[in-house]
Amino acid sequence: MDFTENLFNNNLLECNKLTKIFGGTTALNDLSLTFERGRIIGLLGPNGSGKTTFIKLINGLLVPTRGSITINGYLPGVETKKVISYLPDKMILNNWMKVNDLVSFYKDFYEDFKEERAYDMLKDLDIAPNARLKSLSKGTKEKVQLIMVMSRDAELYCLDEPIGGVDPAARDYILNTIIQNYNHKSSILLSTHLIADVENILDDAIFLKYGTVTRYAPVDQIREESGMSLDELFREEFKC
Amino acid sequence: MLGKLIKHEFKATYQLFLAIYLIAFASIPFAIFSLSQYEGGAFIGFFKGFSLFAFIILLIGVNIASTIICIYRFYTHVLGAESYLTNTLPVKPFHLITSKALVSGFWSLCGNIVSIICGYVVLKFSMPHIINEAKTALHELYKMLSYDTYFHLENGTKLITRGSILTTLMVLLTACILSIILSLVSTPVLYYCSMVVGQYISPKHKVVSAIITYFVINFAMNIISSVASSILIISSSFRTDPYIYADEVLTLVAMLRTITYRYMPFALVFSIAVFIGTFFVTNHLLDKRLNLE
Repeated sequence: MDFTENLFNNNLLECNKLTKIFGGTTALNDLSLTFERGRIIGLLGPNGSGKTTFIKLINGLLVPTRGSITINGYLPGVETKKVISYLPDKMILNNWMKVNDLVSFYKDFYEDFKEERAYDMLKDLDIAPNARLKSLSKGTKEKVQLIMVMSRDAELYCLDEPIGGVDPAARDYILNTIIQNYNHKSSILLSTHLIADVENILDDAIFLKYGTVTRYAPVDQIREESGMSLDELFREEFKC
Repeated sequence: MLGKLIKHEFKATYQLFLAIYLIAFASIPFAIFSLSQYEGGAFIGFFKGFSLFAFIILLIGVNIASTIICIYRFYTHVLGAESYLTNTLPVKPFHLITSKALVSGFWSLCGNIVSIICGYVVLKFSMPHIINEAKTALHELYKMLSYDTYFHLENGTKLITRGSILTTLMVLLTACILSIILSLVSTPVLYYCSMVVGQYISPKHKVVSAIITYFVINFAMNIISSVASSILIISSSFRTDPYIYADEVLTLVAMLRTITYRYMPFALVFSIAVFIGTFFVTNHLLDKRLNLE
Protein backbone atom coordinates (compact mmCIF):
# COMPACT_ATOMS: atom_id res chain seq x y z
CA MET A 1 0.00 0.00 0.00
CA ASP A 2 1.55 3.35 -0.97
CA PHE A 3 1.41 6.66 0.88
CA THR A 4 -1.55 8.18 -1.04
CA GLU A 5 -3.58 5.05 -0.50
CA ASN A 6 -2.85 5.31 3.25
CA LEU A 7 -3.88 8.93 3.31
CA PHE A 8 -7.37 8.23 1.98
CA ASN A 9 -7.80 4.92 3.76
CA ASN A 10 -9.51 5.52 7.09
CA ASN A 11 -8.50 2.11 8.41
CA LEU A 12 -5.63 2.52 10.80
CA LEU A 13 -5.28 -1.12 11.73
CA GLU A 14 -6.33 -4.30 10.00
CA CYS A 15 -6.17 -7.86 11.34
CA ASN A 16 -6.79 -10.81 9.13
CA LYS A 17 -7.37 -14.18 10.80
CA LEU A 18 -4.82 -13.24 13.43
CA THR A 19 -3.91 -16.25 15.57
CA LYS A 20 -1.37 -16.66 18.35
CA ILE A 21 -0.63 -19.98 19.98
CA PHE A 22 1.73 -20.37 22.97
CA GLY A 23 2.80 -23.97 23.33
CA GLY A 24 -0.55 -25.74 23.15
CA THR A 25 -2.61 -22.74 24.32
CA THR A 26 -4.45 -20.59 21.80
CA ALA A 27 -4.27 -17.03 23.10
CA LEU A 28 -5.90 -15.43 20.04
CA ASN A 29 -8.00 -17.28 17.52
CA ASP A 30 -8.76 -16.09 13.97
CA LEU A 31 -9.12 -12.43 14.93
CA SER A 32 -10.28 -10.34 11.97
CA LEU A 33 -11.11 -6.69 12.60
CA THR A 34 -10.27 -3.13 11.57
CA PHE A 35 -9.79 0.08 13.54
CA GLU A 36 -10.83 3.38 12.04
CA ARG A 37 -9.09 6.65 12.82
CA GLY A 38 -10.49 9.01 15.44
CA ARG A 39 -11.96 6.38 17.76
CA ILE A 40 -11.44 5.44 21.40
CA ILE A 41 -11.78 1.69 21.54
CA GLY A 42 -12.16 -0.32 24.72
CA LEU A 43 -10.55 -3.76 24.68
CA LEU A 44 -12.51 -5.63 27.30
CA GLY A 45 -12.32 -9.15 28.58
CA PRO A 46 -11.48 -11.21 31.66
CA ASN A 47 -7.96 -12.27 32.59
CA GLY A 48 -6.45 -14.58 30.00
CA SER A 49 -8.84 -13.52 27.24
CA GLY A 50 -5.97 -12.39 24.97
CA LYS A 51 -6.03 -8.59 25.46
CA THR A 52 -2.34 -8.18 26.23
CA THR A 53 -1.40 -10.70 23.52
CA PHE A 54 -3.33 -8.64 20.96
CA ILE A 55 -1.64 -5.42 22.08
CA LYS A 56 1.79 -7.07 21.96
CA LEU A 57 1.10 -8.32 18.43
CA ILE A 58 0.20 -4.77 17.36
CA ASN A 59 3.51 -3.55 18.82
CA GLY A 60 5.63 -6.25 17.23
CA LEU A 61 6.58 -7.81 20.58
CA LEU A 62 5.06 -11.09 19.46
CA VAL A 63 4.96 -12.72 16.04
CA PRO A 64 1.61 -14.15 14.88
CA THR A 65 1.36 -17.92 14.57
CA ARG A 66 -1.04 -17.40 11.64
CA GLY A 67 -2.73 -14.50 9.92
CA SER A 68 -1.53 -10.94 9.64
CA ILE A 69 -1.75 -7.53 11.23
CA THR A 70 -1.01 -4.22 9.53
CA ILE A 71 -0.90 -0.67 10.82
CA ASN A 72 -1.15 2.03 8.15
CA GLY A 73 -0.61 -0.79 5.68
CA TYR A 74 2.71 -1.83 7.22
CA LEU A 75 3.54 -5.02 9.06
CA PRO A 76 4.84 -4.33 12.60
CA GLY A 77 8.33 -2.85 12.30
CA VAL A 78 10.18 0.45 12.35
CA GLU A 79 7.47 2.26 10.34
CA THR A 80 4.67 1.17 12.68
CA LYS A 81 6.70 1.88 15.81
CA LYS A 82 7.01 5.48 14.67
CA VAL A 83 3.24 5.93 14.85
CA ILE A 84 2.24 3.72 17.79
CA SER A 85 2.56 4.88 21.37
CA TYR A 86 2.48 1.91 23.71
CA LEU A 87 1.85 1.72 27.42
CA PRO A 88 2.49 -1.83 28.70
CA ASP A 89 0.84 -3.31 31.76
CA LYS A 90 4.15 -3.41 33.64
CA MET A 91 7.02 -1.09 34.57
CA ILE A 92 9.46 -0.78 31.69
CA LEU A 93 11.57 2.20 32.69
CA ASN A 94 15.26 2.30 33.55
CA ASN A 95 15.41 2.90 37.29
CA TRP A 96 18.76 4.67 37.18
CA MET A 97 17.27 7.46 35.07
CA LYS A 98 15.94 10.80 36.25
CA VAL A 99 12.54 11.86 34.95
CA ASN A 100 14.13 14.51 32.70
CA ASP A 101 16.56 11.88 31.33
CA LEU A 102 13.52 9.93 30.29
CA VAL A 103 12.03 13.00 28.60
CA SER A 104 15.21 13.50 26.57
CA PHE A 105 15.28 9.77 25.77
CA TYR A 106 11.77 9.90 24.32
CA LYS A 107 12.52 13.18 22.55
CA ASP A 108 15.58 11.62 20.89
CA PHE A 109 13.80 8.55 19.57
CA TYR A 110 10.28 9.75 18.75
CA GLU A 111 9.86 12.59 16.28
CA ASP A 112 6.28 13.12 17.45
CA PHE A 113 7.25 13.56 21.12
CA LYS A 114 6.16 16.90 22.64
CA GLU A 115 8.60 17.86 25.37
CA GLU A 116 6.52 20.82 26.55
CA ARG A 117 3.43 18.66 26.93
CA ALA A 118 5.42 16.17 29.02
CA TYR A 119 6.71 18.87 31.39
CA ASP A 120 3.21 20.38 31.69
CA MET A 121 1.76 17.01 32.68
CA LEU A 122 4.61 16.37 35.13
CA LYS A 123 3.87 19.75 36.73
CA ASP A 124 0.14 19.02 36.88
CA LEU A 125 0.79 15.72 38.64
CA ASP A 126 3.39 17.30 40.94
CA ILE A 127 6.29 15.12 39.78
CA ALA A 128 9.76 16.68 40.04
CA PRO A 129 11.60 16.45 36.70
CA ASN A 130 14.94 15.88 38.42
CA ALA A 131 13.67 13.03 40.60
CA ARG A 132 15.26 9.64 40.09
CA LEU A 133 12.80 6.98 38.98
CA LYS A 134 13.98 4.56 41.65
CA SER A 135 12.99 7.07 44.34
CA LEU A 136 9.39 7.29 43.08
CA SER A 137 6.48 5.18 44.27
CA LYS A 138 5.00 2.51 42.02
CA GLY A 139 1.94 4.65 41.28
CA THR A 140 4.05 7.71 40.43
CA LYS A 141 6.24 5.66 38.11
CA GLU A 142 3.10 4.50 36.34
CA LYS A 143 2.04 8.12 35.94
CA VAL A 144 5.46 9.02 34.50
CA GLN A 145 5.20 6.12 32.08
CA LEU A 146 1.76 7.25 30.96
CA ILE A 147 2.93 10.87 30.60
CA MET A 148 5.69 9.75 28.23
CA VAL A 149 3.23 7.76 26.15
CA MET A 150 0.60 10.50 26.00
CA SER A 151 3.15 13.21 25.19
CA ARG A 152 3.48 11.79 21.71
CA ASP A 153 1.35 12.83 18.75
CA ALA A 154 0.93 9.21 17.77
CA GLU A 155 -1.62 7.75 15.37
CA LEU A 156 -2.44 4.79 17.56
CA TYR A 157 -2.16 4.70 21.36
CA CYS A 158 -2.17 1.23 22.85
CA LEU A 159 -2.82 1.54 26.56
CA ASP A 160 -2.72 -1.71 28.50
CA GLU A 161 -4.35 -1.13 31.91
CA PRO A 162 -3.45 2.58 32.09
CA ILE A 163 -5.47 3.34 35.22
CA GLY A 164 -5.15 0.11 37.15
CA GLY A 165 -2.46 1.18 39.58
CA VAL A 166 -3.23 4.85 40.21
CA ASP A 167 -5.45 6.60 42.74
CA PRO A 168 -8.97 7.78 41.70
CA ALA A 169 -7.95 11.46 41.52
CA ALA A 170 -5.07 10.70 39.16
CA ARG A 171 -7.38 8.36 37.25
CA ASP A 172 -9.64 11.31 36.33
CA TYR A 173 -6.62 13.33 35.22
CA ILE A 174 -5.38 10.45 33.09
CA LEU A 175 -8.76 9.93 31.45
CA ASN A 176 -8.99 13.66 30.70
CA THR A 177 -5.51 13.49 29.19
CA ILE A 178 -6.60 10.61 26.99
CA ILE A 179 -9.67 12.54 25.82
CA GLN A 180 -7.54 15.63 25.08
CA ASN A 181 -5.41 13.56 22.72
CA TYR A 182 -8.42 12.35 20.86
CA ASN A 183 -8.46 13.72 17.31
CA HIS A 184 -9.58 12.69 13.86
CA LYS A 185 -6.13 11.29 12.96
CA SER A 186 -5.47 9.07 15.94
CA SER A 187 -7.20 6.24 17.72
CA ILE A 188 -6.81 4.94 21.22
CA LEU A 189 -6.99 1.27 22.13
CA LEU A 190 -7.59 0.96 25.83
CA SER A 191 -7.51 -2.31 27.72
CA THR A 192 -8.91 -2.27 31.25
CA HIS A 193 -10.94 -4.06 33.88
CA LEU A 194 -12.24 -0.79 35.30
CA ILE A 195 -15.05 -0.51 32.77
CA ALA A 196 -17.26 1.81 34.79
CA ASP A 197 -14.45 4.39 34.88
CA VAL A 198 -13.86 4.41 31.14
CA GLU A 199 -17.31 3.65 29.78
CA ASN A 200 -18.17 7.28 29.15
CA ILE A 201 -15.12 7.99 27.03
CA LEU A 202 -15.30 4.93 24.77
CA ASP A 203 -16.61 5.10 21.20
CA ASP A 204 -16.35 1.39 20.50
CA ALA A 205 -15.91 -1.74 22.59
CA ILE A 206 -14.34 -5.08 21.78
CA PHE A 207 -15.31 -8.02 23.99
CA LEU A 208 -12.70 -10.76 23.98
CA LYS A 209 -13.36 -14.24 25.36
CA TYR A 210 -10.84 -17.09 25.12
CA GLY A 211 -9.03 -15.26 22.33
CA THR A 212 -12.15 -14.73 20.23
CA VAL A 213 -14.04 -11.50 19.60
CA THR A 214 -17.59 -11.91 20.91
CA ARG A 215 -18.62 -8.29 20.30
CA TYR A 216 -17.16 -5.34 18.41
CA ALA A 217 -19.53 -2.42 18.01
CA PRO A 218 -20.05 1.23 18.99
CA VAL A 219 -20.74 1.53 22.71
CA ASP A 220 -24.08 3.32 22.14
CA GLN A 221 -25.25 0.47 19.92
CA ILE A 222 -24.22 -2.13 22.52
CA ARG A 223 -26.09 -0.24 25.24
CA GLU A 224 -29.17 0.11 23.04
CA GLU A 225 -29.24 -3.54 21.98
CA SER A 226 -28.57 -4.99 25.42
CA GLY A 227 -30.48 -2.46 27.50
CA MET A 228 -27.55 -2.42 29.93
CA SER A 229 -24.52 -0.30 30.60
CA LEU A 230 -21.22 -1.65 29.30
CA ASP A 231 -20.14 -2.46 32.85
CA GLU A 232 -23.37 -4.39 33.55
CA LEU A 233 -23.12 -6.24 30.26
CA PHE A 234 -19.50 -7.18 30.95
CA ARG A 235 -20.43 -8.59 34.36
CA GLU A 236 -23.31 -10.49 32.77
CA GLU A 237 -21.34 -11.94 29.86
CA PHE A 238 -18.22 -12.87 31.81
CA LYS A 239 -19.93 -14.08 34.97
CA CYS A 240 -17.80 -16.72 36.73
CA MET B 1 19.41 6.29 15.14
CA LEU B 2 22.62 4.31 15.68
CA GLY B 3 24.31 7.43 17.04
CA LYS B 4 21.44 8.06 19.46
CA LEU B 5 21.49 4.45 20.66
CA ILE B 6 25.24 4.65 21.26
CA LYS B 7 24.84 7.96 23.09
CA HIS B 8 22.21 6.55 25.46
CA GLU B 9 24.18 3.34 25.96
CA PHE B 10 27.19 5.40 27.04
CA LYS B 11 25.04 7.59 29.23
CA ALA B 12 23.68 4.53 30.99
CA THR B 13 27.07 2.93 31.63
CA TYR B 14 29.78 5.54 31.96
CA GLN B 15 29.26 6.36 35.65
CA LEU B 16 29.57 2.74 36.68
CA PHE B 17 32.72 2.11 34.64
CA LEU B 18 34.39 5.36 35.73
CA ALA B 19 33.72 4.39 39.36
CA ILE B 20 35.30 0.95 38.79
CA TYR B 21 38.37 2.50 37.10
CA LEU B 22 38.77 5.10 39.85
CA ILE B 23 38.70 2.38 42.50
CA ALA B 24 41.34 0.45 40.53
CA PHE B 25 43.60 3.52 40.31
CA ALA B 26 43.00 4.36 43.97
CA SER B 27 44.20 0.89 44.96
CA ILE B 28 47.62 1.37 43.31
CA PRO B 29 49.35 2.93 46.38
CA PHE B 30 48.13 0.05 48.56
CA ALA B 31 49.45 -2.51 46.05
CA ILE B 32 52.83 -0.71 45.91
CA PHE B 33 52.97 -0.69 49.70
CA SER B 34 52.09 -4.39 49.85
CA LEU B 35 55.06 -5.22 47.60
CA SER B 36 57.48 -2.94 49.45
CA GLN B 37 60.36 -4.16 51.62
CA TYR B 38 58.89 -2.53 54.71
CA GLU B 39 58.26 -5.05 57.44
CA GLY B 40 56.00 -4.22 60.33
CA GLY B 41 54.14 -6.36 62.80
CA ALA B 42 51.53 -9.02 62.19
CA PHE B 43 48.88 -6.43 61.41
CA ILE B 44 51.04 -4.77 58.72
CA GLY B 45 51.76 -8.21 57.28
CA PHE B 46 48.07 -9.00 57.15
CA PHE B 47 47.30 -5.59 55.64
CA LYS B 48 49.97 -6.06 52.95
CA GLY B 49 48.62 -9.49 52.03
CA PHE B 50 45.07 -8.26 51.98
CA SER B 51 45.97 -5.19 49.84
CA LEU B 52 47.75 -7.33 47.27
CA PHE B 53 44.89 -9.80 47.14
CA ALA B 54 42.34 -6.98 46.78
CA PHE B 55 44.42 -5.38 44.02
CA ILE B 56 44.59 -8.62 42.01
CA ILE B 57 40.85 -9.19 42.46
CA LEU B 58 40.22 -5.58 41.35
CA LEU B 59 42.30 -6.01 38.20
CA ILE B 60 40.37 -9.18 37.36
CA GLY B 61 37.13 -7.34 38.21
CA VAL B 62 37.99 -4.41 35.93
CA ASN B 63 38.36 -6.87 33.07
CA ILE B 64 35.28 -8.97 33.68
CA ALA B 65 33.03 -6.01 34.62
CA SER B 66 32.46 -5.13 30.99
CA THR B 67 31.43 -8.72 30.21
CA ILE B 68 29.04 -8.93 33.15
CA ILE B 69 27.51 -5.52 32.43
CA CYS B 70 27.30 -6.32 28.70
CA ILE B 71 25.32 -9.50 29.42
CA TYR B 72 23.14 -7.86 32.08
CA ARG B 73 22.25 -4.85 29.94
CA PHE B 74 21.36 -6.88 26.87
CA TYR B 75 19.28 -9.28 28.94
CA THR B 76 17.28 -6.61 30.79
CA HIS B 77 16.94 -4.25 27.82
CA VAL B 78 16.24 -6.60 24.97
CA LEU B 79 14.73 -9.66 26.62
CA GLY B 80 13.89 -8.68 30.21
CA ALA B 81 11.91 -6.09 32.11
CA GLU B 82 12.86 -3.09 29.98
CA SER B 83 12.54 -4.91 26.67
CA TYR B 84 9.06 -3.49 26.03
CA LEU B 85 10.56 -0.03 25.74
CA THR B 86 13.65 -1.10 23.78
CA ASN B 87 11.72 -3.23 21.30
CA THR B 88 9.12 -0.56 20.61
CA LEU B 89 11.69 2.09 19.72
CA PRO B 90 11.61 2.89 16.00
CA VAL B 91 15.06 1.40 15.42
CA LYS B 92 16.24 -1.62 13.49
CA PRO B 93 17.50 -4.59 15.52
CA PHE B 94 20.71 -4.27 13.49
CA HIS B 95 21.33 -0.85 15.05
CA LEU B 96 20.40 -2.08 18.50
CA ILE B 97 22.88 -4.97 18.40
CA THR B 98 25.62 -2.80 16.84
CA SER B 99 25.27 -0.04 19.45
CA LYS B 100 25.40 -2.43 22.38
CA ALA B 101 28.32 -4.42 20.93
CA LEU B 102 30.35 -1.27 20.15
CA VAL B 103 29.86 0.26 23.58
CA SER B 104 30.60 -3.05 25.28
CA GLY B 105 33.75 -3.44 23.15
CA PHE B 106 34.84 0.09 24.07
CA TRP B 107 34.53 -0.63 27.80
CA SER B 108 36.37 -3.95 27.41
CA LEU B 109 39.22 -2.09 25.74
CA CYS B 110 39.23 0.54 28.50
CA GLY B 111 39.23 -2.23 31.12
CA ASN B 112 42.27 -3.84 29.51
CA ILE B 113 44.11 -0.51 29.27
CA VAL B 114 43.31 0.36 32.91
CA SER B 115 44.58 -3.06 34.05
CA ILE B 116 47.81 -2.68 32.09
CA ILE B 117 48.40 0.86 33.43
CA CYS B 118 47.72 -0.26 37.01
CA GLY B 119 49.98 -3.30 36.67
CA TYR B 120 52.76 -1.26 35.05
CA VAL B 121 52.69 1.49 37.68
CA VAL B 122 52.77 -1.03 40.54
CA LEU B 123 55.71 -2.92 38.98
CA LYS B 124 57.53 0.31 38.13
CA PHE B 125 57.47 1.50 41.73
CA SER B 126 57.74 -1.74 43.65
CA MET B 127 59.77 -4.02 41.37
CA PRO B 128 61.53 -1.78 38.82
CA HIS B 129 64.06 -4.56 38.01
CA ILE B 130 61.29 -6.59 36.31
CA ILE B 131 60.54 -3.67 33.98
CA ASN B 132 64.25 -3.20 33.28
CA GLU B 133 64.74 -6.92 32.61
CA ALA B 134 61.81 -6.92 30.20
CA LYS B 135 63.24 -3.88 28.40
CA THR B 136 66.65 -5.55 28.17
CA ALA B 137 65.12 -8.78 26.85
CA LEU B 138 63.25 -6.85 24.16
CA HIS B 139 66.42 -4.97 23.26
CA GLU B 140 68.37 -8.25 23.02
CA LEU B 141 65.70 -9.76 20.84
CA TYR B 142 65.81 -6.76 18.53
CA LYS B 143 69.61 -6.99 18.35
CA MET B 144 69.42 -10.69 17.59
CA LEU B 145 67.03 -10.00 14.76
CA SER B 146 69.26 -7.22 13.43
CA TYR B 147 71.79 -9.65 11.99
CA ASP B 148 71.39 -12.05 9.10
CA THR B 149 71.87 -15.61 10.27
CA TYR B 150 73.26 -18.47 8.18
CA PHE B 151 72.51 -22.08 8.78
CA HIS B 152 74.66 -24.74 7.21
CA LEU B 153 72.75 -27.90 6.57
CA GLU B 154 73.46 -31.14 4.73
CA ASN B 155 71.44 -30.10 1.72
CA GLY B 156 73.14 -26.74 1.41
CA THR B 157 72.94 -23.43 3.23
CA LYS B 158 69.71 -22.00 4.50
CA LEU B 159 69.69 -18.30 5.20
CA ILE B 160 67.33 -16.61 7.59
CA THR B 161 67.48 -12.88 7.10
CA ARG B 162 66.61 -10.21 9.60
CA GLY B 163 64.09 -8.77 7.19
CA SER B 164 62.10 -11.96 6.73
CA ILE B 165 61.79 -12.62 10.49
CA LEU B 166 60.90 -9.01 11.23
CA THR B 167 58.29 -9.07 8.48
CA THR B 168 56.85 -12.28 9.89
CA LEU B 169 56.74 -10.79 13.37
CA MET B 170 55.08 -7.61 12.11
CA VAL B 171 52.46 -9.61 10.21
CA LEU B 172 51.86 -11.72 13.31
CA LEU B 173 51.55 -8.62 15.49
CA THR B 174 49.12 -7.02 13.04
CA ALA B 175 47.05 -10.20 12.91
CA CYS B 176 46.99 -10.35 16.72
CA ILE B 177 45.86 -6.71 16.95
CA LEU B 178 43.14 -7.33 14.36
CA SER B 179 42.08 -10.42 16.25
CA ILE B 180 41.86 -8.48 19.53
CA ILE B 181 39.85 -5.65 17.91
CA LEU B 182 37.50 -8.19 16.36
CA SER B 183 37.06 -10.07 19.62
CA LEU B 184 36.11 -6.82 21.41
CA VAL B 185 32.87 -6.71 19.40
CA SER B 186 32.43 -10.36 18.43
CA THR B 187 32.51 -11.61 22.04
CA PRO B 188 29.48 -9.52 23.10
CA VAL B 189 27.63 -10.56 19.94
CA LEU B 190 28.25 -14.21 20.83
CA TYR B 191 26.65 -13.59 24.25
CA TYR B 192 23.73 -11.76 22.59
CA CYS B 193 23.25 -14.61 20.14
CA SER B 194 23.21 -17.18 22.97
CA MET B 195 20.63 -15.15 24.89
CA VAL B 196 18.36 -14.57 21.89
CA VAL B 197 18.57 -18.21 20.76
CA GLY B 198 17.92 -19.27 24.39
CA GLN B 199 14.84 -17.04 24.50
CA TYR B 200 13.64 -18.40 21.15
CA ILE B 201 14.08 -22.05 22.14
CA SER B 202 12.52 -21.77 25.58
CA PRO B 203 10.95 -18.44 26.59
CA LYS B 204 10.02 -19.81 30.02
CA HIS B 205 13.56 -21.01 30.83
CA LYS B 206 15.50 -18.46 28.83
CA VAL B 207 18.46 -18.13 31.22
CA VAL B 208 19.21 -21.86 31.38
CA SER B 209 18.54 -22.16 27.67
CA ALA B 210 20.92 -19.26 26.92
CA ILE B 211 23.71 -20.80 29.03
CA ILE B 212 23.32 -24.16 27.26
CA THR B 213 23.29 -22.40 23.87
CA TYR B 214 26.49 -20.52 24.78
CA PHE B 215 28.31 -23.72 25.72
CA VAL B 216 27.06 -25.54 22.62
CA ILE B 217 28.27 -22.73 20.32
CA ASN B 218 31.61 -22.57 22.15
CA PHE B 219 32.03 -26.34 22.02
CA ALA B 220 31.34 -26.38 18.27
CA MET B 221 33.78 -23.49 17.73
CA ASN B 222 36.51 -25.22 19.74
CA ILE B 223 36.07 -28.48 17.84
CA ILE B 224 36.30 -26.76 14.45
CA SER B 225 39.22 -24.61 15.56
CA SER B 226 41.16 -27.54 17.09
CA VAL B 227 40.67 -29.81 14.09
CA ALA B 228 41.63 -27.09 11.62
CA SER B 229 44.73 -25.99 13.57
CA SER B 230 45.86 -29.61 14.00
CA ILE B 231 45.60 -30.17 10.24
CA LEU B 232 47.51 -26.95 9.56
CA ILE B 233 50.31 -27.76 12.00
CA ILE B 234 50.64 -31.44 11.01
CA SER B 235 50.90 -30.54 7.33
CA SER B 236 53.49 -27.82 7.98
CA SER B 237 57.02 -27.98 6.66
CA PHE B 238 58.76 -27.82 10.04
CA ARG B 239 57.14 -31.14 10.90
CA THR B 240 57.78 -32.81 7.56
CA ASP B 241 61.07 -31.34 6.33
CA PRO B 242 63.81 -33.43 7.99
CA TYR B 243 66.42 -30.66 7.58
CA ILE B 244 64.30 -28.07 9.28
CA TYR B 245 63.06 -30.49 11.91
CA ALA B 246 66.67 -31.27 12.81
CA ASP B 247 67.52 -27.72 13.79
CA GLU B 248 65.94 -25.97 16.79
CA VAL B 249 66.16 -22.39 15.50
CA LEU B 250 64.92 -23.34 12.07
CA THR B 251 62.04 -25.26 13.65
CA LEU B 252 61.16 -22.22 15.73
CA VAL B 253 61.25 -19.92 12.72
CA ALA B 254 59.25 -22.35 10.61
CA MET B 255 56.72 -22.67 13.42
CA LEU B 256 56.48 -18.88 13.62
CA ARG B 257 55.86 -18.73 9.87
CA THR B 258 53.25 -21.49 10.07
CA ILE B 259 51.40 -19.66 12.84
CA THR B 260 51.67 -16.33 11.02
CA TYR B 261 50.87 -17.32 7.46
CA ARG B 262 48.69 -20.39 7.89
CA TYR B 263 47.09 -20.45 11.33
CA MET B 264 46.43 -16.70 11.84
CA PRO B 265 44.63 -16.19 8.50
CA PHE B 266 42.46 -19.19 9.34
CA ALA B 267 41.83 -17.89 12.88
CA LEU B 268 40.89 -14.45 11.55
CA VAL B 269 38.59 -15.77 8.83
CA PHE B 270 37.03 -18.18 11.31
CA SER B 271 36.46 -15.37 13.87
CA ILE B 272 34.93 -13.15 11.18
CA ALA B 273 32.66 -16.02 10.05
CA VAL B 274 31.55 -16.68 13.64
CA PHE B 275 30.96 -12.95 14.18
CA ILE B 276 28.87 -12.61 10.99
CA GLY B 277 26.97 -15.82 11.75
CA THR B 278 26.11 -14.90 15.35
CA PHE B 279 25.23 -11.33 14.33
CA PHE B 280 22.96 -12.58 11.55
CA VAL B 281 21.17 -15.07 13.83
CA THR B 282 20.68 -12.45 16.58
CA ASN B 283 19.39 -9.89 14.09
CA HIS B 284 17.08 -12.35 12.36
CA LEU B 285 15.53 -13.61 15.60
CA LEU B 286 15.01 -10.10 17.00
CA ASP B 287 13.59 -8.87 13.70
CA LYS B 288 11.40 -11.78 12.65
CA ARG B 289 10.93 -14.14 15.57
CA LEU B 290 10.66 -11.97 18.66
CA ASN B 291 8.29 -13.43 21.23
CA LEU B 292 8.24 -11.57 24.54
CA GLU B 293 5.74 -13.65 26.41
